[in-house]
Amino acid sequence: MNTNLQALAGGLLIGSAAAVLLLSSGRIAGISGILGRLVVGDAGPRGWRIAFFAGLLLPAVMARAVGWGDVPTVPVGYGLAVAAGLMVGLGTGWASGCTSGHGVCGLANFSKRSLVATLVFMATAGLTVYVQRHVA
Amino acid sequence: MSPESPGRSEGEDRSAAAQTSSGEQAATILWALLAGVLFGAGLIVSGMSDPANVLGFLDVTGAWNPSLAFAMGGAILVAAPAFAWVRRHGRTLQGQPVRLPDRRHITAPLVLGSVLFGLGWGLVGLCPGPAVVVAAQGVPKACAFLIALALGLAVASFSARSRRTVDPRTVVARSCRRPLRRADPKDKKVVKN
Repeated sequence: MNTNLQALAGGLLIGSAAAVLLLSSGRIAGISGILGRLVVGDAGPRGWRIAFFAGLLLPAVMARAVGWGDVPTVPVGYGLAVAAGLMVGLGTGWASGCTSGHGVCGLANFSKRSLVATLVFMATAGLTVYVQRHVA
Repeated sequence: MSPESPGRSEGEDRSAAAQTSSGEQAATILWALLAGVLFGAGLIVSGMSDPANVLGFLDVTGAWNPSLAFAMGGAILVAAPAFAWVRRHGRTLQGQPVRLPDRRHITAPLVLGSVLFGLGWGLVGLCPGPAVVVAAQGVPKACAFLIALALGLAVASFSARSRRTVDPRTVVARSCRRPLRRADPKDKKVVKN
């Protein structure tokens, strides 16, 4: 199947996930937020977060078990992976959202903050790739 | 949940939980599990868990790969009607009250955090969702990335907590015409819009 069609199909699944979570529990399917609250151990009901996170792992583990699809490679060394992980964690924590929280849910909710966040992280990431691939 | 997402305080959370029956709570958990499965499957099917596709999209001057735009567009297409419904009715399908994020101000943490996120995303091609999926596929470097990501989120959470005495939103917000002062609970209302 064409990669763009596959991407669209996957996108429809991700959108359904956001819709199901919102309509059932009023929560927003933002991975950095869900992960962050799980790490810090926020008060209040957290069962839904654990359930969502377990669900997120399931297709990956199953795909690996049945050998479906290729396992992606991480195109950098350990040092850079850890440094970038810290940046993504700190950055999405401060910005209160990532590609899912701002980029999908926030834009779907017509949030101005999310639009600004999405434009800023897209532009910065694009610039980073440009420097890495075409300048450095 | 990120501060961006439902603006319910923990107190409200607890009272809402107290009102729900255990059956409803079990249903909520099952729906959340299904949402997670759909999300994880979507990331794999769309190819967005693969850093190569993400970096190919970000590399606009190279051999551009537009698939991320299709994935994001498809996701927004389905999510938007759900948000519109919840915004209009102010509740879940089961009738639980919902308050969607209503902060409007463009703040320094929002912009600077997004810059830092973009930098890390552009370096490796992994954002939080894909990091979880690729780590679950048993890629050691993705696991290292995910552990660092979790650490970063924890640090951001604690720094936001200690910063709360002087709310960063009051510093940047356009409505900030009064001098900075220590935030008290009443400030929340002032700052909100």
